[in-house]
Amino acid sequence: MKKIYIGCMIFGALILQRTEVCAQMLKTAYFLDNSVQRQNYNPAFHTDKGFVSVPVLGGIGAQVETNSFLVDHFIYKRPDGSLTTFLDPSVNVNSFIGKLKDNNRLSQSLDMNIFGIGFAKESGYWTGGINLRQNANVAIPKGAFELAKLGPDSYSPIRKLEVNANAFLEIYAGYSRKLMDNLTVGGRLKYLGGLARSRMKITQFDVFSNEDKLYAKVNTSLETYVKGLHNNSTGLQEIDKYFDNYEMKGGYGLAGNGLGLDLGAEYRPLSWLKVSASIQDIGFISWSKSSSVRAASDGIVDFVGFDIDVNDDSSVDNQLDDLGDRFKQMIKYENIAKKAHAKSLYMKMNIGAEALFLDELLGVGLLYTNQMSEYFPLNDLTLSVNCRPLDWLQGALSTSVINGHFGSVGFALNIAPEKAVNITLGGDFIFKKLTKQFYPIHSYGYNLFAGIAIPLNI
Amino acid sequence: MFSCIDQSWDLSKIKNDEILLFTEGVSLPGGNFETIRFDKQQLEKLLPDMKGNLVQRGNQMFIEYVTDTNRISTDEMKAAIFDQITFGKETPLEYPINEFEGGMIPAGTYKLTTKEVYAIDPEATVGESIKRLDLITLIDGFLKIDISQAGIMSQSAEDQLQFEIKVPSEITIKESQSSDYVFENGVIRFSVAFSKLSDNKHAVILIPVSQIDNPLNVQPFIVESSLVSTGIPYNAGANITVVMGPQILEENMERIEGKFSFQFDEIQMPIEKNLLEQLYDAFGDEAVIDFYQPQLLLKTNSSFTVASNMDLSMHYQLRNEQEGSESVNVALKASGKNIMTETLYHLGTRVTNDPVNNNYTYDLTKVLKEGRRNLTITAVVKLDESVERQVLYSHMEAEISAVFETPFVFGKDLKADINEQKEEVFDQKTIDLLFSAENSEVYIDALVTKDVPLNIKLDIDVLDENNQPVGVQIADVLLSDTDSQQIEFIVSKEDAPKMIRARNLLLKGNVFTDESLAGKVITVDNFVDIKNLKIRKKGGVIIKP
Repeated sequence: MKKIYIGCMIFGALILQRTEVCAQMLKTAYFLDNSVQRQNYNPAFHTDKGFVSVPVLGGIGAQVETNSFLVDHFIYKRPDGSLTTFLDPSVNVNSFIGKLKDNNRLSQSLDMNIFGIGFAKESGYWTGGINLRQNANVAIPKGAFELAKLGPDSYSPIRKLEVNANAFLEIYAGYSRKLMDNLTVGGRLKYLGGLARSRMKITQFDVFSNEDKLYAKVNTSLETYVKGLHNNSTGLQEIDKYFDNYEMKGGYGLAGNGLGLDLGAEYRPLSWLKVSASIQDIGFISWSKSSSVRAASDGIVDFVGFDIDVNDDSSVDNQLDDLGDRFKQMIKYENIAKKAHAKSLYMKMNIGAEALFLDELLGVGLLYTNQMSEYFPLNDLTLSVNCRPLDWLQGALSTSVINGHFGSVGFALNIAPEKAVNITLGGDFIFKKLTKQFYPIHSYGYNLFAGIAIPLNI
Repeated sequence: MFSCIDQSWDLSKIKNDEILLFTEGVSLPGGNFETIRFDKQQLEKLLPDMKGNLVQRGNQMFIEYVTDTNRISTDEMKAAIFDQITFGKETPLEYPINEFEGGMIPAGTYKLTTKEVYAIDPEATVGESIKRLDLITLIDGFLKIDISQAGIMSQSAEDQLQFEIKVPSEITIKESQSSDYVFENGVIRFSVAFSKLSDNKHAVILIPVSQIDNPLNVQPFIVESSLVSTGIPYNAGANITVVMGPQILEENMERIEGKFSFQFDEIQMPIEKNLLEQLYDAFGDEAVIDFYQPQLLLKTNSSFTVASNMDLSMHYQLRNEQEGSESVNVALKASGKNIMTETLYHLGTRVTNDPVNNNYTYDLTKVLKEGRRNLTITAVVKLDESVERQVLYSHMEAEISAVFETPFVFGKDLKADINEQKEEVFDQKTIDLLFSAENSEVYIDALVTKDVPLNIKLDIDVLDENNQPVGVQIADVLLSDTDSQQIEFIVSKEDAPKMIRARNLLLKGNVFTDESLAGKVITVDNFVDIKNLKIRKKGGVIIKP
């Protein structure tokens, strides 16, 4: 085994390798009015008939969006066609660094509809259900990569490196009704039960040296909110040892409580034009003090101790694993006082317009979405062509104007035989070039969605 | 959707045969070398003077005063000094006189004392030589020769220190005064004071005008007096003769004391190669620490700047029973040639018996610069010839001893070596990181701070764990004078693989001086620091699995 020592973590690559690709909102399906899952995008939307979702399969969507973590930013082709990482000497350093943002971010979310129901009653349409929602965010400043590729003498200050993840349960009840023939409004009230939240933050990572060694000054904090979670470590512990001291006591439950609200409207000013708008996830979750486990450190660690074990298996996985492991060795934690924490939801705004042609057989839709994330807003403009050839069959093709630069293609399909089933599936970026492992090669977003519901005759 | 899969992007086949990191360079600290200083233990022999400069110090009674001579010559002084110099407590060192030919006198501080008590000679008569040199000291860079005399007059001798005093009988000095002559920057300053003679007796000092003789060829010679008295004005020039009395007005004068002081400014002097070899032999090879080299010369440029003031003080008491006059002439002769004659004082006629103390100081720097080897100082006190039996000496004694310090300065041919080893500069981590691949040169940097005025050519040997060179070729670095600078040694790309075995660094300094550094002094605090050692690599670190 040969040990080598490096001065930086290539954390983003780690994240990129391991993030499941999935979708939270299927933008392409926004205008498919047979889809029962549309109500998740705008509470004013509803189908003509009621439905009940298939438990767990009522809607599963996953989404990844980033401002710089693209496969082809980190994986390169050599002249002979073989693939290598940005660590390879053949990769132009400045070219790699030039593709990075000052703060490189990656957001991932996963939504699962555990149960859902919708039905019309009197002049309104009621919905209800339970969703499991999860999101994770990573922010890695450019300096971290510069430290690795350029060296300790040439990197930008590393500040605000953060990784966080949240999971919560959403129990909702929605209602929509027509105010006028051409105007429908709706709202959804949500109770949010916090399952878990964890945030690791490095506010400072500076490398310096004295006469004998290289050191890193690391200012970091770690907050975790899980009901029954405790950490009994004492003193300053390396992150692995600190994690070893996590244990569950006193059973499981909710670590936080919150409320959320969705509002929406759909307006048809002309017979061939429909416009809609919604604001989702207005609300917060308050994570309780009793469920908190908090740790921090502000100290100096031996930078030379951050090394890589290069063994006979030189796969990228192993190399990056080693990088990550060594980086973790540089982070140490010590328990600090428990503290409650209120966290707002990532609010999202959708504005859509669809022009209908051929007796609504075809439609051209334009959807603007704006979603806040932990660090940056995600904006996109999606152009779609929607087709409704049969009463039970609808489909759409889309392209992303902003993130995809018209280079991406999405599709959505809704199959809804009356009294049988209502299936919606699709993806917004799935038709781009993919790796053999189905990773998008050059895409700032990637999502998938599938949902199955049983129509009700109410 | 599967038609969009690019088969050439099979992430399972990503492979990094090499990893390139730190392309803008990485530097790993390597520690500091120990500060190079003079060895404290050795400095028992090399001591700092008041300015902190290193000197060799010794002390010795060195003048055997001979009653029948009053001649002081630099030859005698040197012979006495260097035949008996002792360096330290254990190691005597003899300096051959011939090493100091050319009129050079070792730089340093001298204290010369000899003591001899003379019995009262009732047969002494005025005009007999005074047989006593009392004190010669050189302290803090000034040589001071005190010559005191009291008691019996004896036969005067040519070219010897003379006090020609006519005394009819015993003379007793009751009080003393001193007069100093300072000869500095071409100017002689002196003062002469006489105490009152006891019992209403007085002495008269006659200061006759002497012919100006200026062998130093220093023009003009300006002579000033800090004590103006009556009598004939003195003149500038060489061939100074001080003549006291002997206008003794009262025959029962009890005592006369005279005092001469010489003050020598610091000089630098050449010490020949073989002399220095003796010096270092005496000190041991390590005695001069890292500046030692047999070829070391402590050398002046072309002349010396020895402390070279002469103080003359005379203390005596005269009793004069009748009016008369006295004069004091001081004569300096170098190599038998008069170089300065000075009439110090002309008191004129007086009647007093108060004690008299005269102190005179001469700057002999220029005399010595001229290379005069035999310096003769003659002081003659004359009383008015018409006065009889007025001066009585009751007691005379003299002592001369020496304390000397020889400054250490650099000659132009100094050569010495410095060796400093730093252990564990290269650990396995450093080597693996910087030398795993031979993609570029590796630099060994250090910050050198030094205030010792030496040229140092630094070379580095990279050693393995057994302190054997690993075989890399590294060009040396030259540091001049007191320069402080960042130095850089380069391990070539071709030599990088050899560094796998590297562990220790041996720093080799070749120390030498040149013309510009010759004569620069060394202080006890001189040091050479080689710190902030860094092992640096440009162009990135390539790691091969």
